[in-house]
Amino acid sequence: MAGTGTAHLRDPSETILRAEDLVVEFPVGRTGLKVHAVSGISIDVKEGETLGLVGESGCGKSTTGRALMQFPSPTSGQVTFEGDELTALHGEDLRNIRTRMQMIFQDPISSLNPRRTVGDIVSEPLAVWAEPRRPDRGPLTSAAAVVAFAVAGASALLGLIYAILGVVVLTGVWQSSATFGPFTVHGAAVGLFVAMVGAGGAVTFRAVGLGLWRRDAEGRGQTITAFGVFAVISLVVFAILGGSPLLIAVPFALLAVVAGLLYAPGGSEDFPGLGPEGAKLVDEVLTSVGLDPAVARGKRPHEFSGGQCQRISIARALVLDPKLIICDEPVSALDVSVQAQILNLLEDMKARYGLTLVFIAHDLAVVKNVSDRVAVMYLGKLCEVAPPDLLYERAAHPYTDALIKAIPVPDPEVRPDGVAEKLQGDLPSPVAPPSGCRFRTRCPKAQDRCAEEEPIIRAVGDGQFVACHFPLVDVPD
Amino acid sequence: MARKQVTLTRSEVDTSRPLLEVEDLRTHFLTESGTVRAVDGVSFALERGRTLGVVGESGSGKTILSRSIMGLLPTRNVVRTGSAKYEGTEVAGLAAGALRGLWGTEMAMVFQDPMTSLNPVMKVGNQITESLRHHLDMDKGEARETAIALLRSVGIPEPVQRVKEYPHQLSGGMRQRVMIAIALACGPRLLFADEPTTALDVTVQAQILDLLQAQQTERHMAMVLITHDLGVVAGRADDIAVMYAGKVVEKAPTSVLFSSTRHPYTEALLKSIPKLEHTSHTRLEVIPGRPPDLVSPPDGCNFSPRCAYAQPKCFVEEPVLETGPGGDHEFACWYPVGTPQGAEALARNQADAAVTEEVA
Amino acid sequence: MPVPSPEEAGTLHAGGSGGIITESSVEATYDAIGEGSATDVEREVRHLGVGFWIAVAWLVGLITLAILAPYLPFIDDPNVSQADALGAAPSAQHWFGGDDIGRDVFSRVIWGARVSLFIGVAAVTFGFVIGGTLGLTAGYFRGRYERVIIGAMDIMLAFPALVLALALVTFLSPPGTQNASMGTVTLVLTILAVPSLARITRAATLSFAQREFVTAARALGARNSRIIAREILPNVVPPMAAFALIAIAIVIVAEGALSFLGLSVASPTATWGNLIEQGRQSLDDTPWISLFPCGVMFLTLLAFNYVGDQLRRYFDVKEAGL
Repeated sequence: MAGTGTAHLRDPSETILRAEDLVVEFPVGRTGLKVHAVSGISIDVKEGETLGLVGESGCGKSTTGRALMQFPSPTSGQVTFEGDELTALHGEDLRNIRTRMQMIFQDPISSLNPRRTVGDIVSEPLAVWAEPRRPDRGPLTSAAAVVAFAVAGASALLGLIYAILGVVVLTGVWQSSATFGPFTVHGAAVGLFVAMVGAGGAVTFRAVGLGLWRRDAEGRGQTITAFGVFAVISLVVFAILGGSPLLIAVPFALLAVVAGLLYAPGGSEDFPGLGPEGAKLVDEVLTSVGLDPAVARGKRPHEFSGGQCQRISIARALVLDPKLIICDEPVSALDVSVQAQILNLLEDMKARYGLTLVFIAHDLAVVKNVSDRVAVMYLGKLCEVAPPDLLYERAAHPYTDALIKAIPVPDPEVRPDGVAEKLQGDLPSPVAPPSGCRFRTRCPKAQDRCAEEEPIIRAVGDGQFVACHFPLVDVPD
Repeated sequence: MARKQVTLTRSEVDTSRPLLEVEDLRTHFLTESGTVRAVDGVSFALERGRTLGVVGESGSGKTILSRSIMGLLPTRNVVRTGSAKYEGTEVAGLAAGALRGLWGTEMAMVFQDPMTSLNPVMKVGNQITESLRHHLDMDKGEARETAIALLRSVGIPEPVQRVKEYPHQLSGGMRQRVMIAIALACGPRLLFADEPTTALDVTVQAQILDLLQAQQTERHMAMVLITHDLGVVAGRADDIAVMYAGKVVEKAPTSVLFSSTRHPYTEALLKSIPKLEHTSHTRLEVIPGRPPDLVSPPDGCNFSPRCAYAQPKCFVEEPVLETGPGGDHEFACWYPVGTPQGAEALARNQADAAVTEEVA
Repeated sequence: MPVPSPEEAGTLHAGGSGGIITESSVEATYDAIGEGSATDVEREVRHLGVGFWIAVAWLVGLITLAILAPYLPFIDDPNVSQADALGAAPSAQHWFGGDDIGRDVFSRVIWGARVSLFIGVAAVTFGFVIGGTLGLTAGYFRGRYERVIIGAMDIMLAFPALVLALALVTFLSPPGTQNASMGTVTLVLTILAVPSLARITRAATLSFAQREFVTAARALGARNSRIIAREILPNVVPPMAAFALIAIAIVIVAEGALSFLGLSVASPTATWGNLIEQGRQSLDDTPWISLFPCGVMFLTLLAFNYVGDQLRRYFDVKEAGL
């Protein structure tokens, strides 16, 4: 089966995700060879559906998942998500779709930053999206904000340098004959003060931007009080230290505080930011995946088991309330009993949050359990697409059949079939895949035609589609 | 290199005895936070030519069990008690030199991940001949011939070519075959297969398991097949031992284990596996909670906090492994599945809604 | 699953020359210990040890003395000759003895420490700021940019360090002399440090940038600046900070070498290299002039290396405990 073709795709108006003729190729070092990881896959998903993508190692299913997310963009092909052509998007526009399309990864522990707390990790999406999107801000406000923030940052930095140099001179390590500027104790003290004010301004600006400091009436009152306090202190210090030119920077640095107020609405319209509303959302999501937020928030990933880490990853994916989640082998690294927990959890979350899932795995039994539609892949091509129960009942593609027969069944009555019926040989190299149908080297039904002509996917009936010249199920004409 | 030999005096070998007899084997690791009771009292016997499947999840102790019997444990901070008799000779506690004499010639192990278990900087052929030359004192040419024959017998195409290759040039399935060839090179009588197919694709898995089975029959070898996959042991093992938290909770011939499961953990495990024949979106029955802390396991039965059948007695008294009628089915449970007291216990719990839904 | 490295968990008896049993297979033993005990390994190596704290005490003591040197009563002016110290052996008044001109060796050693420590810390700090930034961005963004950076670093590393230092110092010093100011020496050593620090930072960044949590952050829509700041930096900084201590030791040695050759801050300013060089001729009669600076330098370098190494292991283990 080296299936190309789009016969199995449904009407674009019915589906929210549609990928056509995806091709992903990687160069192999500098040899000029290419790994044909994905060669012409087309899939689509309806809203609320779970599409299962199954295949063994090297079939390109994970690569397909990443290509859908544009990580990176596929070599060629189109991906349409809710009407947007993803392959044509770049930069900010591409970033903006991320709120609607999320991903869960295979290794639960490696998908979480070991140095951050769980609360931090799950709040991260809110922090990323706390700032309003660029079109929402007016040009004047933006410009003023940038200037104020820059001045605050610059004063902080400059003041710090002055302070350090002053300390260095203080200890006498660096003999300097200067009597003013950074090389004096006076200069050091002034520098330190300016640094603190500048840093304070920059931090306030940022905090308001992240939604940590409210922009409402109470927040405004707090900010103005802070402004007032700083203003008074600066006047006093100015008087005492007798007019160092550096102190001019102080009022400008304080502008940053005001700018923060004007510029950053403390969270964009869509997402609550990191303030109390955001915290509530995070707690809610953590509870719905089965973790106690009070306990979990302060801990780091290494304090949790694999199953719990996967729950945290799921929580993180849910925070932005996406429409679609691509699950890349989410249970492969987990124990059997934990697998069941996570699979049930995914079903629950799907129902609760109205999700659409693309579930990628190598275990057909797992995929069959969670999916509404299954696509079987081999060496970068599609073999068969069918509803899961039908797929099991009557596999149309020889590869699917072999896959089903090879899966060990926990029932001693079912003896494994004779050796002759099993697939022999190994997977061909994706650098030089077989001509025509890529499965022909291992297919018990292969004939000459299979080497010459690549099979195109066609309907078999009841929503089942197969790409094979000699399928196991009769193809109606 | 001088080779220490453990000579098992053939006259002492009693062929009526099981090949491997393990009695109350315990392996505890001494760590900063306490003693980890990885294997906590395991006993079983294995006859020649038979396959024992050891099933368990991570933390059950199945890997440590095989390492303990073979003697592959670290020397520091490990406490090992109990006995493991191979052909009547006590191997638990043998000195390193004596153990080395056993490894390869009498007992061998196939590991999970062939990529890390094979020496990446050594040609495949050399890895096999190394064992042959060391244990069987073969010369270079003879060893090479034997290695090629071995590779052929494990189903590797073009073996003459392969002996000169490095592990990374082979696929996963082929590497595992090489591992098997190395393990079987000196004709051991007992083979430990520790998750031999977990890292492989399912279509290759079947090939490898077939290979192991064929080799076992040909050489009349006993095999201990360690895995977390009940499907793998269902078709390949004669007897199955289910392990949980360092103990064997149920042991029975394969068909008996599946048809009349007695231990709630085994039952729960079977129910939580997604099966192909189920319709899609079948809700999986989940075992609530997490595996126990091996440093301070719960009082009474290790499984009690997660068990649907648990009664007050279970939290206090540890159940003993007892043999059911028929003489070959052992299980450790106060309220076993499929018995009247078990059914009562389950009904009571369900009625009380006392099943702790403590999600992990 | 926690997979502790074999050294941390005690000796492993890999045994057998049968080629079958490899150390990594025993390593897999620990996979089975159980998810719940991920903290076991952490605790095993968390103890930084008595040696660590002794080394820290030495460094803290030395740094304190160095900073407060001008104000401490028992530290004499290093450039003033005292009659009673002329060629004097170590005694109660002069703990490290006196040199051939009558200056107190102890004071000179402490004042020399100021120079060495300042140059060491400054060069490494600036080196990390520049080299670390280059390495971090190279490791994160990859591609052509990375190739250019690495190429440039390789070229710089290809120069023999001492020759490069010699050239730079001569070039930057007042004409006719080879005496550099502290600033110049710091600059030269910074330049020498940048390539190595860049490479190390890049290596550390590479290992983290490939982990799935970085992809996850991108999937959330985080911009590169945020990913670098919130995901990569917190992971790269601790091991780099630990390595910085070792780097300081290396720079101190380099400075010592330079001043031994007369290329660093000129006499009469005391630097460790100067002191060792001065005492070189009279090793037979007055060995303490060289030996005490040597000894202090040795212990300081040992302390820096040990503390840096222990901290690096500490941070590594926390990583491996995942």
